[in-house]
Amino acid sequence: MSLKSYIARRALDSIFLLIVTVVFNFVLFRIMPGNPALAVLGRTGQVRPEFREALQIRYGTNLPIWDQFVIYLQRLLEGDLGFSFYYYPTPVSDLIFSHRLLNTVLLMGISILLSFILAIIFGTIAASKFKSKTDLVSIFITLTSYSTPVFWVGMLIIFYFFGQFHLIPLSGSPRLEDPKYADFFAWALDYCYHLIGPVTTLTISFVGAWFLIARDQMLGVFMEDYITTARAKGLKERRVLFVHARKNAMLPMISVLALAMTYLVSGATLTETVFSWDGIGLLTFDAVTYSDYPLLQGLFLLVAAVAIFSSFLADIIYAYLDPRIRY
Amino acid sequence: MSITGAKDGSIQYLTPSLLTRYKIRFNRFWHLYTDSPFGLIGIFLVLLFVGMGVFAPILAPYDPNRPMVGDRSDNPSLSHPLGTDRLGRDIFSQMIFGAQVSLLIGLSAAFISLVIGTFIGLTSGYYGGFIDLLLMRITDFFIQLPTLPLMLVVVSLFGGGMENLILIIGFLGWTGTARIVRSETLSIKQRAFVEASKSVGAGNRHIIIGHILPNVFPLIFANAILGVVNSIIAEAGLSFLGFGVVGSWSWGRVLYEAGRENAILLGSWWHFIPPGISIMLLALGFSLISFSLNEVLNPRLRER
Repeated sequence: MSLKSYIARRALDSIFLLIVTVVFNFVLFRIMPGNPALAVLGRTGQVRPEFREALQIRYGTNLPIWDQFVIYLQRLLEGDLGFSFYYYPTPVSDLIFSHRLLNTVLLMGISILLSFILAIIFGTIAASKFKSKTDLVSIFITLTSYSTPVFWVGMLIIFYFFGQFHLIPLSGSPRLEDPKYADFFAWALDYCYHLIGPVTTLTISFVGAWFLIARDQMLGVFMEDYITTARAKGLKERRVLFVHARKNAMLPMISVLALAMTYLVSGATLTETVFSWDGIGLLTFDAVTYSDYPLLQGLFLLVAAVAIFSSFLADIIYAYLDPRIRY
Repeated sequence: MSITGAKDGSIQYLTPSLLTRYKIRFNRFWHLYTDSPFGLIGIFLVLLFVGMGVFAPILAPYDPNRPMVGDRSDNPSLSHPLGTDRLGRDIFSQMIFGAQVSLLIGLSAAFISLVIGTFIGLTSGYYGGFIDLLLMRITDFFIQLPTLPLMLVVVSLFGGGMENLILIIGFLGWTGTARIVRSETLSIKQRAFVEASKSVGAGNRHIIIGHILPNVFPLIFANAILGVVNSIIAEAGLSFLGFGVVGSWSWGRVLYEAGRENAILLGSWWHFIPPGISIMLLALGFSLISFSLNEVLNPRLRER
C-alpha cells in the first residue's frame, strides 16, 4: 500500500470515529434521567424563568430527540458549544478557549518534554547495564513512581517545598491581566515560579510510566547485530548508546508522544486541582462538581477530537518512518 | 520420560504423573520468578495488606465511622496513633479499614477489565477482518482518551458509590488487555495444533475456549495484575476528588478528608502521609509481581 492511500484510509477511519464521537457525545448526555434542562432544574430547584426559557430554546428540550440532535449538530458546526450552566451566561467555548487552555498547554508541554527526555536517558542507561544493580534500582524507583498517586506526590511537594523549605509558592497560576505585574517579564518570571511545583509532580509521574517502555525498546535494539558491530569497531560506549541505538529505539516512543499529545489539551485534573492551576483539568473538575453538562460535553468533544487527531498523526509518522507498517 | 527394561524383557515407558509434571513446571516457573528479589517483595507487600484488610475488625482499635472517640483534630497519641479528624474519628482505624476498600475495588475492577479485554481481544484476533478492524479502532480510541477525565464524566452522570466505582473503573480499563490478547491470539491461531483441531472439525467456540484461551492465559494474568495497580490508583484519584465511596473508608477518602481539613498547611502529616504510603506500597506490591511475571512470561526477555 502506498503512503498516500494509507493516509487516505486512516483519514477515513478518523472521520468515522469523529462522527461516532459526536453521536456518542449527544446520546451520553441525553440518556440521563430526564434531559439536560431538567437535570439542572432538578438540582438547583428554583431557577429564573428566563434561564429556563433559554435552556428550552437552546436545546429544544420539548422537541423530539431527532430534532434535538439536528439542532445540536447545527450549533456544533457553527462552533457553538452552548452555554455553561454554572458560569451562565458564558458560552462554553469562551470558558475552554481562554487562558485555561494556554495554562494547560504550557504546564503539560513542559512536563511532557522534560519527562520524555529523562525517560529516554534513564531507559538507555538502565538497558545498557541490563540486570546490573543500576538497572534493578532504577526499575524499582520507576515502579514505585508508577504506583504512587500523582496527587499525593503533589501534596508532598507542597508540604515539603512550600511548607517546610519555602522554595515554591503554594498554588495558583498568575494571569497577565493582574495589575500587580509591572510588565510582561515580571509576569513571566512569577509564572515560571508557580510552574515548578506542578511540573515536578507531573514529571515524576510521567517518567515512572515511560521509563520501562524506553528501557524495553533499548533492550530490543541492543540485541541487533549492528550494535555489536559498532562496539566491535571500538566506538565509545556513549556514542553507541546515544547515536546508534537511540535512533531505532525512538520509533515506538512516538506512540508514547502521541498519547501525551492528548494530555496536552486534556490537562491533568488531579495535579491541577492540588496546585489550583487554572487549566482545563481544573475546569473539568469544576464541571463535574457542579453537574455542568454543556461544559462537560464541550470538554469531552475537544479531548476526543484531539485524541483522534493525534492517533492519526502518530500512525502517519510511523508509516512514514517504517514502511513495513503499511499492511 | 525414561525407558527401562522390565524383567520379562518388554519395554515400559515411565511417564511422570500429572502431579509431578505440574510440580516440575511450577519449580521451573518459581526459579525464574525469584531470579530477582522483586517478585518476592511484591508477594510480601500484597499479603501484608490482604492480612490488614481481612483482620481489620480485630486490628482497628475503634469504629472508623464513630465520631468523638477522642478530641477533635487531635495530634497522634498512644490511644490514637495517627490522631483524630475534625469529627473526632480515629484516623488509624480508617487507615486499617482502607485496605479492605482499596483491595476490593482494585481486584473486582481489574477482573471486569480482564473479562472484557479478553473477550474483545480473542474475538478481534481470532475472527479478523472487519470485526478486527472495528474493534481495534474502538480500542485505539479508548487507549488514546485520558482515563481520569472520562471516569469523572461517567461518575457525574451515574453517581459515585462502591458498585458504580467498580463498574466505571472496570469498564474503562480493558484496552491494554484487549491489545495483548489480540496479538497473542493472532500468533497462536497460526500454530499447527489449531490447524489440526480445525481439520478434525472443531468449531470456533471449541478452538477459542479449548486451545487459544489456555495459551494466552499466562499473559492475561500478568496484565490483569497491572490492571489491579491501575484500578487502585484510579480509585484513590476519584475518592480524593470527592467522588468515591461513601459510608466506608478508602485511603483515597482519608486523603480527601485530609485535604478538606487543610492538613498540608496545618502540618498534620499523620493525616495524609500514612494513607499515601499505603496506596503506594500496595500498588507497588502488585507492580512488582506483574513485572516479575512479565520477565518470566515474555520470551523475548528470557532469551538473554
